[in-house]
Amino acid sequence: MNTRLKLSSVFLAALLLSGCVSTSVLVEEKLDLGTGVTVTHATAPIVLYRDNSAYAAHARDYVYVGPVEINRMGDYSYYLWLGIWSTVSDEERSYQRDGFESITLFADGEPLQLELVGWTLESIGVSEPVYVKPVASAADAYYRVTIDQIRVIANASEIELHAGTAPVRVYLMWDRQGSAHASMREFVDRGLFGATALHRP
Amino acid sequence: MSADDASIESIEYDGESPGDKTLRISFSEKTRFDVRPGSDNNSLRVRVFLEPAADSSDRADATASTRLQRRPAVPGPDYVINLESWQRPPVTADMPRIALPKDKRVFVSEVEIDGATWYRVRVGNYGSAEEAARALAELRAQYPDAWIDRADAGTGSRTSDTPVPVPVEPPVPVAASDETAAKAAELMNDARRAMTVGELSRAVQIYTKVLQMPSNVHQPDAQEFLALARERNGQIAHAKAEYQRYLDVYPDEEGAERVEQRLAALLATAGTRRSTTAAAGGAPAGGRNALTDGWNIRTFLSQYYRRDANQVNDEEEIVSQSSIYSDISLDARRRGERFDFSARLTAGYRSNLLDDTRPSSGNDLRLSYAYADLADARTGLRGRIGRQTRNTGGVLGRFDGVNLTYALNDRLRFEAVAGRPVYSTARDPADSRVFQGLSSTFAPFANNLDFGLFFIEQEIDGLTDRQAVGAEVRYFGDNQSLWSIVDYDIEFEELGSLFVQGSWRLPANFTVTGVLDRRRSPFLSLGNALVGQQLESFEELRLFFTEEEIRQFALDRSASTTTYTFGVSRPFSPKLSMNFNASISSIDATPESGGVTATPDSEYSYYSADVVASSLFTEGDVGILGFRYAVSGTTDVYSTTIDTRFPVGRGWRISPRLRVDYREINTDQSTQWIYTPGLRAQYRMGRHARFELQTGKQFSTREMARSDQDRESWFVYAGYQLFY
Repeated sequence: MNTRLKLSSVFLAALLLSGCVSTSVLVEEKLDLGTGVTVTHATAPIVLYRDNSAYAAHARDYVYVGPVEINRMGDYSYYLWLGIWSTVSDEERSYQRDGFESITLFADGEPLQLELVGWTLESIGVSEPVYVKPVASAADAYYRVTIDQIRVIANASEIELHAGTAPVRVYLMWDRQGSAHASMREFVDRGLFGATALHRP
Repeated sequence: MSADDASIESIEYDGESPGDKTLRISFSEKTRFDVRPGSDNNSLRVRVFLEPAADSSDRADATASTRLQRRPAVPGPDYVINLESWQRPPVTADMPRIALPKDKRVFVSEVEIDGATWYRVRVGNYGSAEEAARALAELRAQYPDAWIDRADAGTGSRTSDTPVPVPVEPPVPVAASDETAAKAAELMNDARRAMTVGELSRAVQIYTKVLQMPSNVHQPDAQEFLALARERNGQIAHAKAEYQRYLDVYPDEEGAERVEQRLAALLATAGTRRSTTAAAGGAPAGGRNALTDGWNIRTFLSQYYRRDANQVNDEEEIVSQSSIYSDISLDARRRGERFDFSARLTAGYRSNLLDDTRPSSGNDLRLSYAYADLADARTGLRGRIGRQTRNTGGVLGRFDGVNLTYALNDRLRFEAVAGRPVYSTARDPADSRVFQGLSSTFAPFANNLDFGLFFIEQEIDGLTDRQAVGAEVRYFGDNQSLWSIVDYDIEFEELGSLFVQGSWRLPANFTVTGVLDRRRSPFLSLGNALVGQQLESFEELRLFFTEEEIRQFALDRSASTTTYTFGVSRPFSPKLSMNFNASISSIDATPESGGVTATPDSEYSYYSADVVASSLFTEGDVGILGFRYAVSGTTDVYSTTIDTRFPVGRGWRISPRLRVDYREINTDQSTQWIYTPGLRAQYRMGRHARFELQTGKQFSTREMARSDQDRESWFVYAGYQLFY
């Protein structure tokens, strides 16, 4: 293993440790300083995956799915954030986003047709990233949803995502994700209203 | 006198407490009554003494005098608003003087927090979080610290509620401001237009927005039309919940009877009965907690045509592919209060339109999924049998077999799996491998931490193909994430794979990310000994080599590969973000053994930067400018990519793009320019159809020592997807 690889290992170990020593809650609320809106989101997104064996045996494409609430002086808007990334270096950079303009999310078989509102923070009217990107090259995508649609997703035991048409790319749930579901349910139950009910007198 | 006038708030029967079964009738205001046994000893008679309200008797219909006040759906309204909290019992002067709807009341509940008793002054109950939020918005002017709680929260506000005399003012309609009413009216008109032209999803969004506004006169209609839009949109479970919500929130509105009929019709159509747990305002999702549905069958059909052609130095064009890919998926589901059954069949067919006799170019029938799944909500057991896929618990993708799950709760699950791996969906599984495994996922330490452990054993022709233990950890914090999977083969005593992905958000919105992926490729197993051999089956291999030799061959063929990827991303404005990535991959050399030649080690790395900018030309467009430098032992490649995406109207998305590569080929010191323009268009037609066209052409010129080589190739994909 050469020097670059050793340095890389140290860096990754530091990342790993920094993650393990942190504590967090299921729903985060913060003020977006650039726009003055209050942003609430689940901390743990749901992980979907798709085997990309046509590219390489171990290649997988991933999509992270997380809800976002934007509170503009009491005017609430809801979005789904998708973090789209792959374990392999995709030389065709456009491919990553293809098909995600219009997606169908199946929550326990219930189809939710979602239309992209944008690829940048501007589309949801904030100035700071809401979710932590899984990898720097991940594409962010935002979809307008209703709170009921988020509720459908939060309560679903199986989630599947269809993107694209020629061909259709199907993403499945990585596994039953206790934290992600708890986080999303917490978002639906309490994160909607800014002030949450826990730990208050 | 109508039941409404009697101010009966609820009638509840609690049969859960042994020896303490209680029938409770609650009134929304102070009421005089007496209770007598019925003459037949099978009934109870409650006489209510109330002065009839002058304004309501006129509007009470004929049936109302004998109608029971509609019982709140069990488990009842879920939300309350906490106005204030005191560390002493509140006195009358502490009670709020607010106007409340008739079905709401002020009460005091007690709760002990950290040894201190708090007295909470609350208003409730609200059938949904949204209804509570709307009420909270109006109360915030007087009670800025008011907050919403669940009525059944751990503090037990429902059970410890102590109704107190409250100086509640007569109910008055809450008048919306002119501005709010005007905005709501405008939105209602928009929504009506959306309904008229069949833009049901848009109508749903608009009606939802009206319902999220401060209280206004349009909200009952918005609630009803929201349900109607969902019904027309085929979202039956949503529609039922929305109709139910209307009945809970607006029981006295003129549309209540109509809504009740629609809900009844939906329930009758489903051929089911209304569950006692039908959630008023509860989550329409999940279904299990709401309504008992009938069969739900969905079909997906997609077809696309793909053509690839290329031409070298003005020679005849060679078509390398001309195929139609057809895929169909049938999903059937039936959900009950206890059992949830689903089944899926997904198959595809490739029609090769070329007159080609190569064995690999014929038509293909692919079977991706064919399984039945049954889940029992009461026991937490779930079983799936048939062709399915899984990538956790040591399972490596698609297999034919059975997967059993026992969920003790949301946080702890156990799984058992057994089956035969499927390496190709287009061929019969001739492979003799079978596997079985056990796994568990749990989250014992923190809210955002998930752990998984597994053991798996796979056999091939009576020998251990792989026997592995492994673990997975996932952590998502507000500023960090970590995901790691390790697979250790205890038979080979070698690391099978290690995947670590971490990201960390730093101040100033910098995010640094890293991925480590180390694995044996192909995945470590005894069957890898066949790689490079002229033999056709593992059985034949065993005839020529001992088990120890085969094990060594398997190790020799399974090269270790390691990939490190690092990245930094940062948004520089809401419209502009950048990211930088570096990746280094290495593949270890493999030795010569068993007649298979050695392979040298190799390394590949790339460095890239992307700029993503939106609203460059029109609202909603995006442009991505990418640079990339990739270097391997034979080639250095410099690439530039321009990818733009434009929304056109409501249904079209157009994406022109261009990629330019410059290659330095070290083996012959030649260089090559490659230009690849392309266009992708997608059209969404209503809810059930999407069309896509993608085409591109590649021009390349390679300058070699003796001659130049020009090459052109082009491709087209065109397809559609239908689902209903």
